[in-house]
Amino acid sequence: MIEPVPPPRLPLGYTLHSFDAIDSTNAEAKRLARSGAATGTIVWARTQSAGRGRHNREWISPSGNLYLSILLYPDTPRQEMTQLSFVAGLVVLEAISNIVPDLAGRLTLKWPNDVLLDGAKCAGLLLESDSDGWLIIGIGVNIASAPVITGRTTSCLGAVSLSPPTARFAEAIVARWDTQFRRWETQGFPQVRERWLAHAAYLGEQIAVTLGEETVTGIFEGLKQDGGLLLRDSDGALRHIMAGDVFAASQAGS
Amino acid sequence: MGDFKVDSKLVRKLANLLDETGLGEVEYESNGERIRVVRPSSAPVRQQAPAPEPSIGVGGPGNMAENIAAEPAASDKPHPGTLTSPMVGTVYLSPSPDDPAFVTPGDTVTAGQTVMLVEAMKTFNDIKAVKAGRIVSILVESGQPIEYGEPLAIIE
Repeated sequence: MIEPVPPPRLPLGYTLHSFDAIDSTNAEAKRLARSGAATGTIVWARTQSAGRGRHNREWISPSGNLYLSILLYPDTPRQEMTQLSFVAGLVVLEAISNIVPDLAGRLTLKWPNDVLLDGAKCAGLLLESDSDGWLIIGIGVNIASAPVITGRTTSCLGAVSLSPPTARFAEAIVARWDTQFRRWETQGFPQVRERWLAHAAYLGEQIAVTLGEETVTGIFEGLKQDGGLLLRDSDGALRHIMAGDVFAASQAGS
Repeated sequence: MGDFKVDSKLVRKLANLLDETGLGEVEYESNGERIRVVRPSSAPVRQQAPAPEPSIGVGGPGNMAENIAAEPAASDKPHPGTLTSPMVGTVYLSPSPDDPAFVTPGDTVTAGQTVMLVEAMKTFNDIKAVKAGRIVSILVESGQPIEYGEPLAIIE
């Protein structure tokens, strides 16, 4: 038996749609956007039957973990909306650190926005935008359990600490999102980039990035002003990467 | 034919240079290998000849129009149904590598139908047909990096 989890309480200006089970919180947020839902719509579910990650990879979604989507209409060109990918990754890392202070020093960010605990992924984000002006930020955090995925290392918060219920994380993430989104609106991306780099995994280290069929390796030198990953490849050339899967060089090639 | 290898990175760089400078062609030679990149005359050339008076350049470089190539060159107009990228990133022609393409040439599309995705920083952006029509051609390959404003497809 699973204890019933009370739904999260949200700051003013946010509207909660909570579900025991849903196909995916991003899919629901998309349906809500198409039926005219306002900015600040939050979708939270205890389980998902069709949780998805990058390229429609399955996001295994048992109860006890967090599944949350934020719908908003940022007043910004789509080119700049991608900056919110970094804001959101930081928000998740900071919210976890606040709720479980013991973990604070063990969390890092893998480009652009995976949260790693002791180097293993504990949270993932997927953002979707549309020419109608909406942006959906989908957030999954492994709290009670971590899925076993071949070729990937995963972790969950519950393995290392007695974690509060998922709704507490949802509350903390939305509250932090609210302040950090406003900060981004007024102060722009440079402060986000700085803070992101302070938590970066593999900075200055050898990494591999898969770009579709191709895998490139090199030193992770930092972030360009737009958030693009700067990779110094073996020929000494600096590559500017906008999309790809990042691995520690030691984990790649399996 | 020797081992002349086409360096697609270099070609892309040169093509971007054309976009940035508004030049019609650029030639690059190194170690006896030469690459010349020429802009087809149907592409959105900003200014081919130096034009002292800005009478033609409506809109300027900060062109904010999404999805439609709105370069207002007087005679060298791009196809009016050209769909362009609203952002820098990687383009995908299907929702995932295992799925069929959203559309293929010859398909008819309705206004607002998703025809491809552009990813940047794990943000996936729906690229939609602005109006109903037929897909005449797809100008990009799945997984290819693209620039802001780059033509993606032509819809008639």
